[in-house]
Amino acid sequence: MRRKRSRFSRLGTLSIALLLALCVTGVGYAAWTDEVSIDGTANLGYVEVVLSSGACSDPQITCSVSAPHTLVVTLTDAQPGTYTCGFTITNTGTIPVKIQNIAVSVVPAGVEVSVLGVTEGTQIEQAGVYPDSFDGMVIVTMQESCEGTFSVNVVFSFVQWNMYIE
Amino acid sequence: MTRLARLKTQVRPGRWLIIALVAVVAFSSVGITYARMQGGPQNKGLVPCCCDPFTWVVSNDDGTENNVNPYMIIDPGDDGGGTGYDRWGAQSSDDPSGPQTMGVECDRYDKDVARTTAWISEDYLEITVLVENAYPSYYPTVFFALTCPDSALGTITGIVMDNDFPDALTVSTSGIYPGQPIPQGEEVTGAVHVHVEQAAAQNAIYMFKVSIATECQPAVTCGTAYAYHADYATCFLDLGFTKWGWTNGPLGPGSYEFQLWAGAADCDTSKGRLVGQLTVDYDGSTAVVTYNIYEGNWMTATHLYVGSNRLPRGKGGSETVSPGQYPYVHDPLNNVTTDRYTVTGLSGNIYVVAHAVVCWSG
Repeated sequence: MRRKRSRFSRLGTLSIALLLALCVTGVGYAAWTDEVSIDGTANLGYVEVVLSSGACSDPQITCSVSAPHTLVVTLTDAQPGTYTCGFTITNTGTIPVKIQNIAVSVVPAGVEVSVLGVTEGTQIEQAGVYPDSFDGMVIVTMQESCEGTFSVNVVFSFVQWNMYIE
Repeated sequence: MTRLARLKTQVRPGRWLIIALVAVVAFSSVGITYARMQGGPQNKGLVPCCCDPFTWVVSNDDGTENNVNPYMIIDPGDDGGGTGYDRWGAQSSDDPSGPQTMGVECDRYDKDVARTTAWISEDYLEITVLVENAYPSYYPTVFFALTCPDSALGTITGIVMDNDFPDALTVSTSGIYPGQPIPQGEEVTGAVHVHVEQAAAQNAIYMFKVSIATECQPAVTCGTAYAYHADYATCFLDLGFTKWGWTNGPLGPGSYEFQLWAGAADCDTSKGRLVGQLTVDYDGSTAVVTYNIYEGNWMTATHLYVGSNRLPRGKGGSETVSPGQYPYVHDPLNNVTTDRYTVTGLSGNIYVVAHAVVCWSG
């Protein structure tokens, strides 16, 4: 029985010695190794453009904005002549934008639509920085009278300034 | 049945061994975990370490061209301007549109829309990079330098990129690589490049982390050391030789203790390093010479002369101070801290010239 006790004692001592040795090894490892880091946070900006309609030249013409960037110009019982409707494009985002495209929907025969004030490629700076907005005008020229109502859609598309494709 | 007897029947010694081994692994893990939790060694206390590993950091879009000695301008073009648009004023520059190489201008847009700043933590273990108002194709670079303590040689053992949004951000490093040495007393420079991809979402916040594992080992310096006794030493230079060192004598029978000085150029101990001591026990016919080196130092060779002349004789018969020509040599020695010679056949007064090649960390 005594011999057994002695064996346990030796085993325990050996184990404790090993424990301590390896702990020291671990701490020693601490002494000679290191880890440094580069921690990054990237906050993205955003593109946000607001299109708003302005005053129109005659009672026969009205305009409104349809999401996201469509100006809906409506004429009622229009007579030959020129009608205009104003609009404003404002960059309310944090990134400068350019107008990538201005598309006018199909119009009836004898009707011409043009846009003044902005063109494709016009750059609108971010909010708070001049020029962060542009005033423009849609001009509808009627060659002949047109009874009833028809609408013309002028659709603007925008991209961040460095993504503009010429 | 006694408790021990029950224990004997219930738990065999082999099981104890398994338990002990498990505990060994667990406790060694504790030690290594401690190493990790320490965030690396500290520049105080007794722990030698890679201290203040980041020495500087430079962003190439914070509006300042940084002149870092000895590299000159790190980030040319980061001049605080905004050619066509200047959101940040002097706090940022025209936005980088491509990766930058240290000291070389990179492609930039003509607008200052985004900004990148970077700074080092107080413990120099972490660099924080903050990219603001970024957008697809924005491409800032952050330069940095890593070093080890002056007394250590370092190695970059690993670089781990942690980027949960690879579709939105491409983060890469340049200038550093696993296995790259960090020379003693020098620094290595690297860069982190961040490219915002088209898939990046507006108003999003993306995080990334570059972990750089380093290892620092103390540099070893070795020097030649000679025994010196203020009462008996004569400098080799005073004997017409061009090398420093001492012969000690004449010594009659008795016990003597000498200092071992390394690097004491011109026999000036104020220029040297006291690395140990030498004892000589001389009974009139036999001398026992023992080298004992202080902790933190070790020997790779010893050369000894003991004789009735002030210096040993070389191959041509003339006096020499070259250790390689001393009559008693232990070379090489396996980084020992003690060495002993027993020289017999002596008589009368003797001289001792004891040389050692001693090394130490740092």
